[in-house]
Parts: sequence; structure tokens; C-alpha cells
Amino acid sequence: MKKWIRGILFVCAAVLVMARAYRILSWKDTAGNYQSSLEQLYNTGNDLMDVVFVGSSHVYCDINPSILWRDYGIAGFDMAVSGQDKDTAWHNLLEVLKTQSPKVVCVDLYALTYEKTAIQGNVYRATLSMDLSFNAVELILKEVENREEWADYILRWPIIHTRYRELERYDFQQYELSVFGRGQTFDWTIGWGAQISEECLNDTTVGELGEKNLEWLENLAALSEEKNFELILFIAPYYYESDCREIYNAAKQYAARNGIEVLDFNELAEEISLDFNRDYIDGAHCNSYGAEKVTAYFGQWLNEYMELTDHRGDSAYFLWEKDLEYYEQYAQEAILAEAVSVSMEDYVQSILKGNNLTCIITLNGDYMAYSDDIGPVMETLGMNLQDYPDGGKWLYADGQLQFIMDNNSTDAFIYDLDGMYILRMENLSVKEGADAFEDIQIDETAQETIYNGIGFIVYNTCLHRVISRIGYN
Amino acid sequence: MQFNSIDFLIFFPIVVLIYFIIPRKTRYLWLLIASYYFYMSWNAKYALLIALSTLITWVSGLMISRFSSRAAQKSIVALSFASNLGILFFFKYFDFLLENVNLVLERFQLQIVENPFDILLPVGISFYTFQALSYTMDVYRGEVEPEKNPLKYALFVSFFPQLVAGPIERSKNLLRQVKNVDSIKLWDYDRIASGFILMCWGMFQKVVIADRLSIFVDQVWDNLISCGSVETIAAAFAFSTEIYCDFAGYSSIAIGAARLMGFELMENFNAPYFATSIRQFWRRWHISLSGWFRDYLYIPLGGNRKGRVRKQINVMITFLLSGLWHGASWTYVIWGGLHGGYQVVGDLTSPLREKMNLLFHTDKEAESYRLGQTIFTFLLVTFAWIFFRAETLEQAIYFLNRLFTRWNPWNFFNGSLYEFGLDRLECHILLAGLLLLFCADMIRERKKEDLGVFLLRQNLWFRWAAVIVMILGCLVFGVYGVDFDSTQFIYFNF
Repeated sequence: MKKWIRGILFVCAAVLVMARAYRILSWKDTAGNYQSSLEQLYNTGNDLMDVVFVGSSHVYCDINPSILWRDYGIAGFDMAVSGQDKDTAWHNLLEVLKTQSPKVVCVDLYALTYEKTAIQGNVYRATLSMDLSFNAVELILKEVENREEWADYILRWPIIHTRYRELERYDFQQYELSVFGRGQTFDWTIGWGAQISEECLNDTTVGELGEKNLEWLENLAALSEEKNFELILFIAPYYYESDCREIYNAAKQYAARNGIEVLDFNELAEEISLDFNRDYIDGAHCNSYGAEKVTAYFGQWLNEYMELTDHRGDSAYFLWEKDLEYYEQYAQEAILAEAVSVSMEDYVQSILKGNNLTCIITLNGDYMAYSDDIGPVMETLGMNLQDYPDGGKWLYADGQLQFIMDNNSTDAFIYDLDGMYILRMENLSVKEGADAFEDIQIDETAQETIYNGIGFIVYNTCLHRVISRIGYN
Repeated sequence: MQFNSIDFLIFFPIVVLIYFIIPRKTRYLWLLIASYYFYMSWNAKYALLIALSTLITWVSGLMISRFSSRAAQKSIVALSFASNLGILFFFKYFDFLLENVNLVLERFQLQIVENPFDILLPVGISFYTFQALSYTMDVYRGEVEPEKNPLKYALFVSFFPQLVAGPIERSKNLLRQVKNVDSIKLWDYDRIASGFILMCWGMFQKVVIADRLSIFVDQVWDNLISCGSVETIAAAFAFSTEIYCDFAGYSSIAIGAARLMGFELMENFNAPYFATSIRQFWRRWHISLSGWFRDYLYIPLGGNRKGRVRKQINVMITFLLSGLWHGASWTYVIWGGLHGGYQVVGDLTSPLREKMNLLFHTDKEAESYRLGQTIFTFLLVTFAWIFFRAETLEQAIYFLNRLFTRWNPWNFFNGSLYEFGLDRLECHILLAGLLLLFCADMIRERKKEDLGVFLLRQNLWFRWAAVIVMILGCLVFGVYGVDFDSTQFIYFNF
């Protein structure tokens, strides 16, 4: 009998080890940056979400729930997966409704314009993040065309086990969920948007909706009745042509017949002042500047037409509070990037105004030649003007100057940045004739700085990474 | 249904679970159904062939016991061998024969013969045919009683753990256990645990080592034109290890699965690369097949009882046929011929070697002497494997040409070997696997017991750790499933 008990204990131990291994190897990524809406969903308390946005990258790029929280205390959530097609959207929504009772569900209509995602990576994204359930199995049976692969997707191990080749820090530790938002992505990259032609926007031709599209809309409408949520359809601002326009017109016609509201942000682009030269990452996706505008409009509309509670101050909604905090941290990166293009004074002012910032200032080579008036600017960072001509590496953190290393020092300086990463400063270029780029290292990674001038390396202790690096010469 | 498939992962626990809970008297029926289902998962039609082989040999056994005349019994044995080998010949060697006949006809500018059949080789036909024939012979020799129950006999021929890749069982061993299946004590913890460990080890050998090595080996063989001596030498050694882990792994799973259900199959591999001679190698490699050829071919041919020359001829016949058994191709025949040749040459040069040893005062008991013998044997075996791996004779010759004519030792060090499908990380995983393999074979060599039995005697923490490492090793580092890699996402961010 003892042996059998030991056998059972062995099975338990093996299962625990495998569960841990599965956790490490599991697919956590929907956008290449560890953002997974489903991961956020599973870690959100029951019945907290007021508004759920369902869609593809158009949603996680264009709709920023932090704005809804900041402006109205609305608990919004992006249930978004890259390339989300109709089946994925449907099953993702069912997954949300298992634990949440949103008052409003806003569904992006982009999925009407294609049948299936053509990208294998998106099939992985859609099927591997969802917890195993009948809902997940149904999604797999619909998404995975090759029947022989069904078991692989259901068991997951056959697919994810080769991730041992690409494991990163986040695979081994439980990260703070709010770092990755409420399903949205933060990206201030400025690319070029493309404006839809007037002709296309004014095209009123109603195209064929198609059987599958109609069934999808009908199912959504029926679900809204059954689960008692308001269904809102919307079209995110992106470039499309008349063939899509005709499908959208057909969807709008269907919505009008059924009393469903449709918000078309291409038509609203002018009203919300979308700037095609600033607010887009590319032709299909807004950046965070654009998302601010789209979401602000959405928030205003929801506030006006829906009866939603302001949850600010309610401790149950701490994830939304944290999300907003992180959004503001991310925003500092954009603020610094903009300040760079104005002047060093503006840049330093932005550092001073920011929070959770640690700044390493390097004074190398003929940095004095940069400007005669630089003294007062550097004083604001706590520099003594008498020390300034000596050059060196200066560490500014927690609102004051923490340490000065002159350029001839041969000692290494180690500084714990945030409990996660270590800063190491050492004049290796003096000691060993190494490249000056090796002098400053964070997490053993050399930080590029300027050889001849004033350099700034700005580290955000909340985001645990360098958010700005600039040199003035 | 391969052992390393999800299908088997589902099939096996279900079969075992039901087998453990059904009434004793029905156990053999359940195993027979499971075995036929297992076989039919490849191709349902070929179940008829195994059934036919079973029927012929079962009836032969009964008839042999009915006749008292030795001549009549011999005729029945001959009939059984002719019909079974006829089936085997047709499905396995007909195409090969026709191909060679046509080559001769072409040489004499005669009309070639069109192949009227589209033959697909039934899985495991060589294995179960030999197993069934051994029964006929054993009954003829009076070593076993003929089995009266056709279903129990059918289970002996088709027992799923060893059906498609051996070990080729003897009726003296397996049929006796099948007969007594209802008296097997199923809930024996040690036996179950040892069987499970053996299955895990077999799976590890197969999916972590063999399948990983095959990536490298296949890439070299597929790109011979760009390979030199270093790559081909590496591929030759890699294939030696791959085929060992592949085959021995499969055998371990088979033996472990059978043990878990209360059956003890015969040993099939015994640390073969520790052999100090080719003769010893064949006592350690695919033991069930070499034993079959020894008992049913080499000894009936006269073995070593009819003089030295006849012995060498018998050895060559046995090994040439053994090569042909492995596959219908001249490369297999050459492979078999090489092994036969090694033994003949070894035998003929034995007096000379003895003289040399005396001359140089060689201490034959020294470890270094044995190590030298082991290495030399391994090199001979590895050389022969080149013909086994080659798809055609021309390819084997091309490989040998590359092996001896493009010597560039810098390739061992410049990282170019990492360009054949296994990068640095994969090679490290492989090395860890090979280290475990070496340890397991050392245990086999020194302790004379398989890993399942050995681990059961170890401390609990060590045993658990070893088994969990094996399971986790298979699950994480095994070569199976979709080759998932995030970098393949061309549309990465959206």
C-alpha cells in the first residue's frame, strides 16, 4: 500500500513540475511584446468590466481604455487579438462573458472584410492564449483547417514545447499584469496614415453582406439580447477601398434595421481631428496619439448615451488605476522624444517634470563647446557649476544628484536601479582602452552614449527600461 | 500508430485501464482486439495478411502434432515456410526482383517486364512473419505444444507492443505467457513502475536523441555535394547513434509497455556499442533477430559443425540474408555482407593477431586493450551503417568519396557543423542526451539490468528525479509536433 501512495505522490510531483514547465513555455504573446488580452482577462476580477471592445489590432492600437478610465472612470477592456476573424471574435466574446457582465460590447466590423486570417502566427495567437474549455476547443476546430493538427492545438504541448529556444525573462516570472495594459498596446511611433478618398467615403453602394457575415451579426445581436448588453458596432479609422466600403454599408443597413448603433471613425476623422501625419503607425493602425483622440470620442459618446458608473476610487478597480499609471509612464517616453527636437533645456525640463526617472548624464570630450549658457540648465539637475568643467558621469535620481564619477576614476560604481536591474559605471575606456560605449552598462548591456558632448540616458524605474537616449554636441 | 504519437498516448492508457479491470478470462480477447486495432490504424486491409499468416501457422502447428511421421511433419513445415515467406517475398521483394530482372533484360536489350502490381509494404510484415514461423519450427522440434485456442495464438502473433518492430518473440516465451494471461498478477507496483520507466527511457531515446540526430544526418545526406570529410564523418557517427537510439528506444517502449501489462518480452539490445568484436556486437544488437537467424538458419545450415570453410560460408549466407531481411535493396545486402565479411576476416586473421599480440607483449586483460577493441568494432559498425543509410548504391559510393577526399579539419572548429539543422543550443541538448545514454548503457553493461529495474532499486528522490527528467526531456526537448518559432511570424506586431 505504501508503494501505491508513493506512486500517487510521484504523479502529483510530476504534474506540478509539468504545470510549471507549461507555464514557462506557454504562449503569452499576442503582439510580440507579451501583451495578451486573454491573460489580462483571466486575471481580472469577476463582473468588473463595463465596456468591452472586441476586434483585431485595430482595437488594441486605436482604443485605449486608460483614457476612458482617466476621463470618466469607465472600466473598459480591449478583447483584441491580432488578425481576429469572426470566429475568433465570437469565441473571445464568449470567453469574456464567462466572468464579466459588460453593459456595452463594442465590436469592430473589420472582421467582415475577410474570412480567415491568412497568417499562421495569428492562428497561434487566437488559439493558444485561451484557457482550455469547450469554447477553446470549438474555436480550434473552426480555426485550424488541418484536422490532423487539432489534437496538437488542444494539447498545446506539441506546439509550444519548442519555445525553449526563445525563452525570455518574462517566461520565468509573473510580471505585473497592468504593465501590459487592459488589452491595449502603447505605441507612439509616428508613421504615415493614408486618408480614404472622398469618393469612397461618399459611396453609398450597398454590397453583399454574405451569409457568414450576416450570421455573425445576427448571433451577436442575439447574444446581446440573451446576455443583456448593449451592442455597438464600429469601424476603426484605417485606409480601405470601395469593396470594403460596400460591405460596411451593408452592415450599417443591417444595424439600422435592427436598431444597433454604428460608429464609423473614418467618417468621424475630421470631427475628432485625426492627423494623418502624426496619429498613425501605418495605414491601418493609430498610434497612441491617435488612440487618445479615438478613445476620447468613444468615451464622450458612452458617457452621453450609456448609463455607466464612474468607478474611480473603488479599490476593486485597481487594475485600471495601475493601467493609467503605466500609460502615463509610457507617455513620458513620447514627451521626452518630442522635447529632444526642441532644445536641451526643454529636454531637461521634461526629465525634471517626469517621475520614476533615473538619468545618467555623460560629459565627454569637448562637451564645453556645446553652449556657454548650459550651466543654469545643468544646475537644475543638481550639478555644481564648479564641478561641471571636470566632466565625468553624473547620476540623477529621485529628484537629486546621487553620484559623480570623474572621467579619470578607475573605480567601478554599481547602483541598483529598481530592484530588477543594476547600473554599472566604470571608465573602461580609461582603464582598458575599451570602447567608451562599454562604460555604462544596465543589466550587463552596454548603453550607447556620445563620445564628444553631453549625453543623457534616461531610465524609467517603473517600466524597467531605458526610455530615452540622446547626445548633444 | 507510432509509439511517439498522440494516438498512442491516448490508445495505450485506455487499453491498459480496461485490461486491468475486465474479468481475467476476457483479457486475451481484449488484447487481441486492441492489437488488431493498433495494426489496422496503419492500413486496415493488411490485417487480412496477418490473419492469414496466423491461420497458416496455427493450422500447421496443429497438423504437425497430428502426424507422427517425420516426413509429413517436414512437409507441413515446408508448406508453412513456403506460404509465409511467399507472402513476405511478394510484398517486400517482388519490386526489387523485377527491378533487377529488368536490369539484366536491358543489358541484353530485351523487352522489360512491366510491374502488374502496385504494392505497398505492410507494416511489420518481416517481424510477425518470422515470429509466426518460429512457432511452426518450435512445434516441429517439439519445443512447444501446439496452441489449441486460435485466438490466443492470434494474440501471440499480433501482440501490439512488439508487433511492428519487435522484439521478434519466441513461442517458448511469449505464447506461454499468453496462455497464462488470466493468471497474471496485474497490480504489481514494481513491475508497473519498471515498465513505465522503461517506456519513458525508450521515448527519450527516440524523440530527444534519435529524432534530433536525424535532423543533422538527413541534412548532410541531402546535401552531400556541399559536404567534406568532416561533415560526412560526423554524419556517419551521428547515424550510428541515431539508429541505435531509434531502434533500441522503440524496443524499450515495447518491452516496457508489455511489462506494464504483465508480459516479459525478450531483451533486444544490450549496450551494443560496448561490444569488443563484431561477433559480440551481434549478440548485443537486435538480439531477437540474430537469435532467430542463428536458431532457424545458421544452425540448420550446419553452423560451425561442418568444418572451417563451411562455417564461413554459413556466416556469409546468414548475414547476407539478414541484410536482405532489413530491406529490399543491394545496399542492405552489402551491409549484411560487410558484417559477415568482418567476421570471416576476423576469424581467418585470428592466428595472425594472436602472434602479433605475443610479439608485442600485448596485455589482453588491460582496459586499454578492451577499449581499443570497442573503438575498432564501433568504427567497423559505423562504416557498415553508411550502406544501411544510403538510399542507393550510387549514393553510398558518393558518400564514401566525400568521406575520404575532402579533408578539412578546420571544419570541426569553425562552427560549420552547426549549419546542418542543429545549432549550438540543439547540440548542447543532444550532448546532454548522449551523456544520459552513455550512463544508461554503462548501467546495462556493469549491472546487467535494464534502466527500469535499476532505477527501482535506487533512492526515491533519485528515482523520481530521473523519471521526471526523462518525461520533461521528452515533452520539452522531444522532436515532435509543430516546429513552432515566433520568428516565423512575418506579420509580427499586428
